[in-house]
Amino acid sequence: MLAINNIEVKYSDIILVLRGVSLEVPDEEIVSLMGNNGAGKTTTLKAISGMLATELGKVTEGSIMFNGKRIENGDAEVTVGLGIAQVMEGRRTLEHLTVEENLRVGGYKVSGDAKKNLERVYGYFPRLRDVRNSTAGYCSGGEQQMLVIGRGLMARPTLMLLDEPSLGLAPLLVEEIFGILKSINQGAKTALLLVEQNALAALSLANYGYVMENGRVVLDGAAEKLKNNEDIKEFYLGLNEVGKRKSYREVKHYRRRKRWLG
Amino acid sequence: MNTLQICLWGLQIGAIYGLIALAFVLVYKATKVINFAQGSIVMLTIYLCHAVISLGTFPIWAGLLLSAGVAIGLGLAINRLFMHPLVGQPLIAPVMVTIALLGLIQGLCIMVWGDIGGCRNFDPLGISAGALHIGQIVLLKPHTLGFIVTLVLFGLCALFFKYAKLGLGMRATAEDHQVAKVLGVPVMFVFAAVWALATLISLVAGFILGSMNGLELGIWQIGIKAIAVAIIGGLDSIPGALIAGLMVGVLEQLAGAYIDPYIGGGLMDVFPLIIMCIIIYFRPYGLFGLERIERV
Ligand SMILES: Nc1ncnc2c1ncn2[C@@H]1O[C@H](COP(=O)(O)OP(=O)(O)O)[C@@H](O)[C@H]1O
Ligand SMILES: [Mg+2]
Repeated sequence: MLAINNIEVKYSDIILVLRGVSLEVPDEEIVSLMGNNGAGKTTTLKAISGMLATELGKVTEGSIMFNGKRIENGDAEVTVGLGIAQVMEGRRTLEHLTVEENLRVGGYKVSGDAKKNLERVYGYFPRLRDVRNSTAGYCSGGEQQMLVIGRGLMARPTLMLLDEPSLGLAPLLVEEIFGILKSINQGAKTALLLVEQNALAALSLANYGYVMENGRVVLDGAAEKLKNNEDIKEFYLGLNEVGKRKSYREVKHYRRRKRWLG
Repeated sequence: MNTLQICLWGLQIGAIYGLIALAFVLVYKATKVINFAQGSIVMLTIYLCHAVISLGTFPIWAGLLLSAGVAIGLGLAINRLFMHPLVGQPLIAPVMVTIALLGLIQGLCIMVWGDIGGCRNFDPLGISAGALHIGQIVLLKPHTLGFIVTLVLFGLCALFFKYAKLGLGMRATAEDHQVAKVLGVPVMFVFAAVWALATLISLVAGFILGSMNGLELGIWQIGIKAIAVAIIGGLDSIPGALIAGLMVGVLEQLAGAYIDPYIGGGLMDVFPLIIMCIIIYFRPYGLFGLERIERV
C-alpha cells in the first residue's frame, strides 16, 4: 500500500535530515517506526502526508508510492483525500472548538453521512461521546489523545500515521489507547504506521518494525524478531516502563550504546 | 438633547464601528494578519460602488449586486496579489504590506476621485435626509438602517460559523493552520474566502457611511477607530467586535456631548483610542479575546 523508496529530505534546501530512507507498510498491517529524539521519524511522516511543505521541507530524492501513485511533495489537503491521515505529535487539538467540532473538522474531506461517521468514531472511543460538547483544550491528556486519533479516523483513512500517541500518558491509558488502535486496525482494516519511542508498547502491537537513527533506517524486521533482539532490549531497558519520558541519564546511556546501530 | 437620544445615536454609530471591526477581525482570525489597510478598503469599496452605480441606468438592486461583485473581486485580488506570495514568510511581512496598501489605496482614490472628493450626494437608496420620530427621539434613517443591517450581518456570521462547513473550516484555520491543513481544510481557499468576506462587509459599512455623510476622501480614518474597537473586543472575537463597537459608540457620543463643551472639543474623535489604552492595560487580550488554554 505504502512504499517509501530511498528518500532524501531537506529543510530550507540545506538541512539534510533523511538519507536513503526506505520502508513499506503493507495493506491492513501495523508497522512501527522507532528511534530516539531527532532521528527523523516525524520528518518521515510529514514526507508521506505532504506536511513538509509547511516547514519549507522537501523530498529531494527518491519516491513515495501510495497504492501505485507517487505522492512525495504532494499537498497535504489532497493526501488526506487519498486516504492517508496523519495524527501529529503533541495532541494538537483545536483547543477552542468542542470535541465534536474537532471531529467534524476531521471529516472535512468526507462527503456523505457525517452523523454515521461520528457514531463510528464514538464507537471506538466511547469516552469522547461523554465529552462531545466540552471545549477540547480543557479535556484531559488521554481524552485529547483519543480526540486527535478519532479526528484522524473521521477522514476514513486506509492508512493512519500516528506520531508518538503514548507520549506523556499514564501506562493504563497507553494500554487502553493501543487496544483501541488494534481494534481500529482489525475493524476498519486501517493500516497503521506507528511512530514510537516506547518500543515495547509499539512492538507488542506491530507486525513489523523499523529503527531509525540520524536520518537513516538502521534496523528492521518482524516485530517478534525485534522484540528478542538483544540490542533493542538493552536500548530500551530504561524506557520500558510504558510512557515514561527519557531522562538525561538514559539518553547518555543510549549514546554510549550507540555503536551497535552505527 | 437628552441622554437617551445620545446613547441611541451612539449605538447606531457604534454598530458601524463594529461592522468594520468585524471585517478586520475575520482577516485577523483566519490569517493572523493585522490589516492596517482596513479603513482605506472601506473607502475604496464605497467609491467603487459609487462609480458602478453612476455607470448607467440599471435598477438600484442591480447596481448593488454589481458593487458586491466588485468588492469581492477586490478582496480576492488583494489576497492573491499581496498576501498569497507571502505565505510562509514571517508575519511581519504581510502586516507591513497592509501598511503600504493603506497609503496606496488612499493615493489611488485621490488620483481617480480627487476631483469629486467631497461629493456629498451619495444616496442611492434615497434615505439620507429621512428621519424617524418616536416621541421625543429622532432617529436618522441611514443610521437606523446601518444598525439593523449590522445586527443581521453579525447574526448571519454566527450562524455561518456554527453550521456551515466552510465556517467550521475557517474556525479550524483560525486555531492552527497546520492542523487545519493536515485534516484536509483548504487553507488557501479559506484565506481567499475570508478576504472576500471582509471586503464585502467593508462595502456594506462604506455604503451606510456614505449614506450618512456622503463621500469624502477622509473616510479611511474610520479604520483607525475600528481597529481600536477590534482590539478592545479582543482582536479574534466576533461578538467582541460588536459589543466593543456599540460600547465605544455610546461612550464617544457621551464624551462628545458632555465633556467636549468644557474642553473646547476634539475629545470625541480620540475617545476610542483612550478607551483602548485603558482596556489593554487591564486586559491585554481585550474584553473577549481568546487566551491560549493552559491546562494544568
Ligand atoms: N522544520 C525543520 N527545519 C529544520 N530542521 C528540522 C525541522 N524539523 C525537524 N528538523 C530536524 O530534523 C531532524 C529530525 O527531526 P524529527 O523528524 O522531528 O525527529 P523525530 O521525530 O525522530 O524526533 C532533527 O535534527 C531536527 O532538528
Ligand atoms: Mg518526532
